[in-house]
Amino acid sequence: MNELARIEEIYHAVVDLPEEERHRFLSESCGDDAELRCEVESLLSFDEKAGSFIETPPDDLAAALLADRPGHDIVGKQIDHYRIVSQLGSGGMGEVFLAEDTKLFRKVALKLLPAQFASSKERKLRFEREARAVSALNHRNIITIYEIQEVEGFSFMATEFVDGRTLNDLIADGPIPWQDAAKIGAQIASALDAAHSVGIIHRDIKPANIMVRPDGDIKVLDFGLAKLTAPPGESGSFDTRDHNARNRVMGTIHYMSPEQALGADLDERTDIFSLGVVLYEVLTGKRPFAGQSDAAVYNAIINIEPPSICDLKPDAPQEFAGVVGLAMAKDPDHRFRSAAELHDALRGLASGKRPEIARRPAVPRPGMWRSLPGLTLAALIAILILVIASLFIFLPTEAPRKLRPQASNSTS
Amino acid sequence: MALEELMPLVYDELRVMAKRYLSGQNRAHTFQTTELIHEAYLKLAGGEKKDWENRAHFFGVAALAMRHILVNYAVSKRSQKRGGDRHRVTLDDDSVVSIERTDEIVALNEALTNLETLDQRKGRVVELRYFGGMSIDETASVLKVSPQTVQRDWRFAKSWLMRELTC
Repeated sequence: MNELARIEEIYHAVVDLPEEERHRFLSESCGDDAELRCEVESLLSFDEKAGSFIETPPDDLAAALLADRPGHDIVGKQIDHYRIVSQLGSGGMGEVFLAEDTKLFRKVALKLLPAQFASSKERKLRFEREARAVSALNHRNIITIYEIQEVEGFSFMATEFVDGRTLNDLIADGPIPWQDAAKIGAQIASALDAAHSVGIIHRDIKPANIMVRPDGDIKVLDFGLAKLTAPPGESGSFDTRDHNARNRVMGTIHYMSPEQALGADLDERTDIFSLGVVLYEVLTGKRPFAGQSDAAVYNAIINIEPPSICDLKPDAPQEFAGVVGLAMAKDPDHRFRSAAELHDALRGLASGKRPEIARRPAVPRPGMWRSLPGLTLAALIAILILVIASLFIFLPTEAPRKLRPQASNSTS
Repeated sequence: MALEELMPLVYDELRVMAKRYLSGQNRAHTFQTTELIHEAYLKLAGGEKKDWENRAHFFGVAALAMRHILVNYAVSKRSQKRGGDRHRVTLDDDSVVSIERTDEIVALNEALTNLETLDQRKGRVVELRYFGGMSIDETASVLKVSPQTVQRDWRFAKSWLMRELTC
């Protein structure tokens, strides 16, 4: 039994007892443990005082605050040495603002980190360590972090300001040419490769985390943030439904890998899968794994092969569909072995080369044959030959046999 | 509709409803978090099957959304205050939100986060009861424990949090 549970047990045993009985019980149950007794008595003294404390929800505050736009009112204000210019966006991960660094006179993106995680020091340290490690790579496709700061109990992160739009916005605008999709994908894969090389997994690759500049350069945002906001310790009293509810609050489940959906251990191949999902959506405008409920989405991610890209986007080369299919293999062992491999394939596509994906371990997967044009052709020819052959072989004998009962019926 | 897609809608819906409550026509009607969440549920669940599983799930998400909204706001209000004299901000006269209230929310949130690290379920009980305005029974359904357990958790958590905030 942990300490709090022990304290709580004694607390509940004595809280409704009259004064003298309380003392007797405490002496018995705490024995020589003065610290324990002190702790229980201290909490007991608050039982009466607590009375109406937090019994009523903060309705007045909720009403006033809800009626306002979040962050709206800090625009124009100063936080530390940053002057907030405008709000860039908001999401589960927190509000993002365009700000001006009044010391260095440069534009920065200021992201307020989720408030309720501010007091988990261990988690924050881990996040900072990862975020800084990735930023230190100086990769052109990874956003540069300037600083992570805490001011009066709330944390913010100042990063390079990227003048562009999220991939999410671009997808919403309509179809993206496959050549552009290949270039975007290659850059994301390159960023992932760099991060993976220092042992850092993104865990939350999705269109909202990809910034695209007008010149086509992309920046991957929020390395390490997914881990910061993940629920603490998957074991214990925390139930998985709750876990999922929190995931939901923080973002979307549509880009999760099967191993993520199953709550299994993750390695860098989870990012390869998520990037496959992103590319599928960029190419087709549709998410590969959809459903009426979360359970349906999880099921699709784990068990269902998405509709063929070639059907949804006929102008995309089959090789591209093959690359995406391979990235989205359910079994991590059947995916590209590394982000570097995926990067090479995508860069090849962008420059008009055929990717060498045929050298993957040949494990038959549903939908795989679609992705290999040579195989498709061979299969089609084989089927055609079989059909034609069957006409010659079976027709003469089958037809009269089928006709006979009909003939006898018509005469009777 | 997946609940995950529901989340931003819940957030937006809660905000729109709150605005309507405050717009004047409904001033006679007291704003209640719990009522707001129920209404948002009825509106968003629409024609869909209203089984308790989904309902409990929705309420769990809504309470978390309320906590997010309140804490994020309180934090931004505080940041205004600490903008210094040069950027001194005075809150609207008709605003019911005082700096003291926002400070309370931020402090409570911090204490609650501490409690969560010691006992996750007690943290959820407080989140659902306080931020979600839920009754003991509703909280018990969401957490799939008995009302007695919620009652015990709640009483202990209150004492614990109050001590944390006053000492």
